[in-house]
Amino acid sequence: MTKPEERHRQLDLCIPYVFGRLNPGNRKQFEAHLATGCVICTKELARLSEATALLPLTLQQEQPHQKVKDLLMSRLSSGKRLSEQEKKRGEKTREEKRGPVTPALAPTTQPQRPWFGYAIAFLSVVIVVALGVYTNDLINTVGEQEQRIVELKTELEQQQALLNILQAPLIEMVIMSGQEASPAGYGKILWDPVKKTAFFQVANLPILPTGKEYQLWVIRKEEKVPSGVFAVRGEQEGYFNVMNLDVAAKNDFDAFAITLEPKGGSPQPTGAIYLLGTTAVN
Amino acid sequence: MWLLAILMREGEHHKQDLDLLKRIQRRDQKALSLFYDRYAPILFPLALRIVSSRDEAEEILQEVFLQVWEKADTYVAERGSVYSWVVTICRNRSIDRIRSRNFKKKTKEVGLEASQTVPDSNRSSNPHDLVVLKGYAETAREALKSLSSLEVKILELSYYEGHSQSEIAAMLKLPLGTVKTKMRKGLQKLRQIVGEEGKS
Repeated sequence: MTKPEERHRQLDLCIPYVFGRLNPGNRKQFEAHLATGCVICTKELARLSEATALLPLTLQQEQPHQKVKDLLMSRLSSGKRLSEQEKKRGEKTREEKRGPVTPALAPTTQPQRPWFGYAIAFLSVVIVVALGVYTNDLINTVGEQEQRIVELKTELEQQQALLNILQAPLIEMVIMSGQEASPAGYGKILWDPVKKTAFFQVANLPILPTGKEYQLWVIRKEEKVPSGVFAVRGEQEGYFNVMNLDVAAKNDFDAFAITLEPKGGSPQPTGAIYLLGTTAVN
Repeated sequence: MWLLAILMREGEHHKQDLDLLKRIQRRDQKALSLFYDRYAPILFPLALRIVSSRDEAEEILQEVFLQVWEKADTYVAERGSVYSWVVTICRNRSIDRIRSRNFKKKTKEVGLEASQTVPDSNRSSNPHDLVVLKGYAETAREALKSLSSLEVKILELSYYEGHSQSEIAAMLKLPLGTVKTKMRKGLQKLRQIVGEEGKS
């Protein structure tokens, strides 16, 4: 039986759980609590899920391209064929394993004592419950590991990108300093002028308002070339890779700038400049 | 207003959903096709709103329906309607996608793509064809009107952009306590519409 104060604590976890903001430990604990069959938390969770599910209904509905459904159905078809083959293989193997039935091995029908049946049933229940708990733990662990793999892969990709640039025979660097919109901000951009790949670091940029993203620009005389958008999600520092940067050596352009733009970026700068690094100073 | 909840969880629509899920569990591709037609027009804009990329939203949509195909038996009726279950799958997959990518190189065309409606013979051009759960959508829009603009903004930042309450507090330059209260109040108002509180 759940104690009232404990139940209250678990209820507090319902909102962050619905929004996917519980850390793996708390999530595991909360899911274990739900698995105990707590009616109060389950109902609260259902109400919150229904409540948040109202939000997408307010978006303008749109039919995706027909190719999406076609591809999905073709993937199902190929999967179905595979399942059927596996099923057939499985049945064949079972048949092979079963072998011919020998009368001498047929089960005997000796009467058993009732307590023995109850003990077997009890043991079976215990084993099923234990397996269920173990499986649940495994599922949670796999989920956490998958999340960690994604994080590590991202980190590795960033380090690999930096390493690739550092290994280049020629590297250029420009330091960007904070402007009026972000006086404490700064950034560095290193690039390989031959491969036109870059790695940059930004720090102390304000957290993005909703519907906005930062955009990197290459400024060449009157021309401003959009070079990628990125989001800073509350970290003090952020590291980003850029492919196909439209610059060669420093004398090829005048400056790098970072502006605040509508989400997805703009063809030309529309927002305030947050960071600026000129090639003349650097 | 809790009528909406009853319609969502006990109405004909939900019964049809349950029937489709049962058929999907029996590997009925026709059922998945019907389920797709039913929810793709809602889930696609949801994924697009979160990831801001049409290509990625299409990928996510496929992943969602493949998950429904593979894991239809994991739906737990006590935890909400089939609709809220599939919406949660789509939302979580979309948020996972933006969390795992911290930079996306976008060309001018890609940037514009998300906000453009490209006429296409393969897409339905009749808006009436696209309105799924029409009555519910109208009720949801009405429901959102009962929330203050700040409550809506906080809920949207959390739901569509995956921000934590402390991130939202920093973004909106509000005390954390205010964000928590506003979020709770906003959710309570929505819950009154979908929950049984009207009864009690």
